Amino acid sequence: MTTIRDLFRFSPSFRVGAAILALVLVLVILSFFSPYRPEARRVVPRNEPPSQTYLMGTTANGQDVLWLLTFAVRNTLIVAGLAVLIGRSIAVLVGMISGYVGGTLDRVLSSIVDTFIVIPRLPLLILIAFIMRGQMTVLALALLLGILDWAHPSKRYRAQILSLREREFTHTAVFAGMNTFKVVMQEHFPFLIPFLLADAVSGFLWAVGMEVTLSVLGLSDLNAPSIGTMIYWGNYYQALLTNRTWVLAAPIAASVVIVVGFYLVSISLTRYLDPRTRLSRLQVKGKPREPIQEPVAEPVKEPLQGISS
Amino acid sequence: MTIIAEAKNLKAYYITQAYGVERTVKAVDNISLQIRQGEVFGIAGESGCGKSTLLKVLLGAHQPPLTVVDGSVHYRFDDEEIDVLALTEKQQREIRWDKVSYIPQGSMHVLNPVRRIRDSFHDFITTHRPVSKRDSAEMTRRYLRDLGLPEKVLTAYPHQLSGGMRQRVTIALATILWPKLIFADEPTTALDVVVQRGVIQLLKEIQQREGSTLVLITHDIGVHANLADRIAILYAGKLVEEGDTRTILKNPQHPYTQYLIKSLPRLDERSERVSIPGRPPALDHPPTGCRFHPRCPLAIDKCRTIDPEIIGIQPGHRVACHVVTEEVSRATTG
Repeated sequence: MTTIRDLFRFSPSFRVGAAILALVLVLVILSFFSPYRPEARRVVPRNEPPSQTYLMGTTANGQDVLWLLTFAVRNTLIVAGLAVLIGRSIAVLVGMISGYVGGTLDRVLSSIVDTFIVIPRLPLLILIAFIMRGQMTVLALALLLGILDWAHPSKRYRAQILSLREREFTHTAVFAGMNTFKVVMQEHFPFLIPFLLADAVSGFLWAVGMEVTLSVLGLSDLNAPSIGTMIYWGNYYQALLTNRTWVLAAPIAASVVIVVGFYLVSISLTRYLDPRTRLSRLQVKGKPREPIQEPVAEPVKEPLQGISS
Repeated sequence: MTIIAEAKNLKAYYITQAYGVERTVKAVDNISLQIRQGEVFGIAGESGCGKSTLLKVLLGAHQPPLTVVDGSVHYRFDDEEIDVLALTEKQQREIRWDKVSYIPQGSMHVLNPVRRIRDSFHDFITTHRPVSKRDSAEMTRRYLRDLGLPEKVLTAYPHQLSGGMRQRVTIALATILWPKLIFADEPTTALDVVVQRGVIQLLKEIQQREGSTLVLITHDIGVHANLADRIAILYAGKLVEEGDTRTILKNPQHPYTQYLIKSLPRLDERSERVSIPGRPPALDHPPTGCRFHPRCPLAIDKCRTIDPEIIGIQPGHRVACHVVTEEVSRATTG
């Protein structure tokens, strides 16, 4: 709690980022109060430009862009959040096991991790999504993204655990009779939390980007509104050619805002957690108010030999 | 006088083999000792003489390349005899920290830097007792209050504590479950003398309250003089002398012990302290015969070839030295 308060007070990028994320959150909450259901069409006049009745205009399908956007943001965040959750869980599990247990298991797991690192992810995603065309749901997409995005973080966690394993407190804990699970979860896991935090944000941004990419290509569930599918349908009805830019502007602006918001929060968090910048933050800038007085040595009145006599 | 821990003819060597070159370091060579219930048993010796190795074997916590070649270690708790070197991993887990505890060397790295002291205590307690977080916190608070440590350390992180406080917290952590046998490895090293005194008093208090047995390992004879009931002197992996603290300090028999005691500074004497000539031997190729003979001023021919056995010259006072043995036998026969 104090962390968040400090960040608010001292980090401008966190303030801006938090404000942007709050706006995104408002959009998500608004989606629950939408007068139209997400898949409903022809509920409003088609192709209306932004006006007082339709703040962001309407689409060629007769949907209100503003309300559609609230659903789109929600779905995109759900996909990205699930992907991060799945990916980081696998990463922590694999990293901890291969780091702590070591030996043959470590070698096997490490080679699997290396395999996942060298796989080019975007072409593979496009391929899988193409095969699953028409059956892709929001959940399946999240799962797919999660499964492809754990190898790099897991290598980082493994490196951490490898060094923690040799520390004195681990030996003491093992000597005291703690079992492996307890040592790893209670003694080592707290060390990973800052890494996990930074990784979660970067993974989130990657997942948002991938969702938008696949949807724009028409490879995700096109009936569920998301930022990517909004752009897809806008293109489909030739929003640019017919000069109905508001249909495309809303989702593009939303994706930019989400990415910038998370990025700002992420860099301010990283800077806050970095011990080097933390030290310089603690330092008081400027001159001390009162000059430090040099202590004046009192003249010795008696020679030192006088004490012993 | 009940014996709580006993080592018999213990031999533990570091055996390594790299690229066909085999090396054997005899860090603990034929050591027998008995630790009595309720006493403070001090183990002294210079750096590299095998103190920490002996401790590892006494705890049964040795790992390759350290190998126990011969001998046995037994604990005795209320007529229950435990063969330390034959314990399974599960049995080891059960007795460690609960009955036999260990205060590690260098408390700087013993506490987990990202856990509050309270949580560290909770982790260690729940390994052996099924208690809730609130109970363990209460237990810890009461224990720290009894030991006179400030309660506010509970919510602190290790880096917020001073070195002395950290060492005291580590000692409290090692003794929270009232173990019967406590091994302390250099508990006062790297602390200044004022803090050392506090740590020594804390150890004494814990030991006297429950009548636990404390095995104290340090090279600091001053600490031994303050704390220990009996002292064993190690030299180059061998036990050279063992006796009451008073006997060892006032009437040392082995030439090495004599040098060790002579090198201590005294307040009332203004002469230069004598140090032992030479350096301690490398343990992979120890000298033949008595391992101290290259540095010993009293060495006779026998010392160069025959390894002296440790012999009781008085009740409770054992020495491993040919010269002393001959003197004693001459005195008794002549």
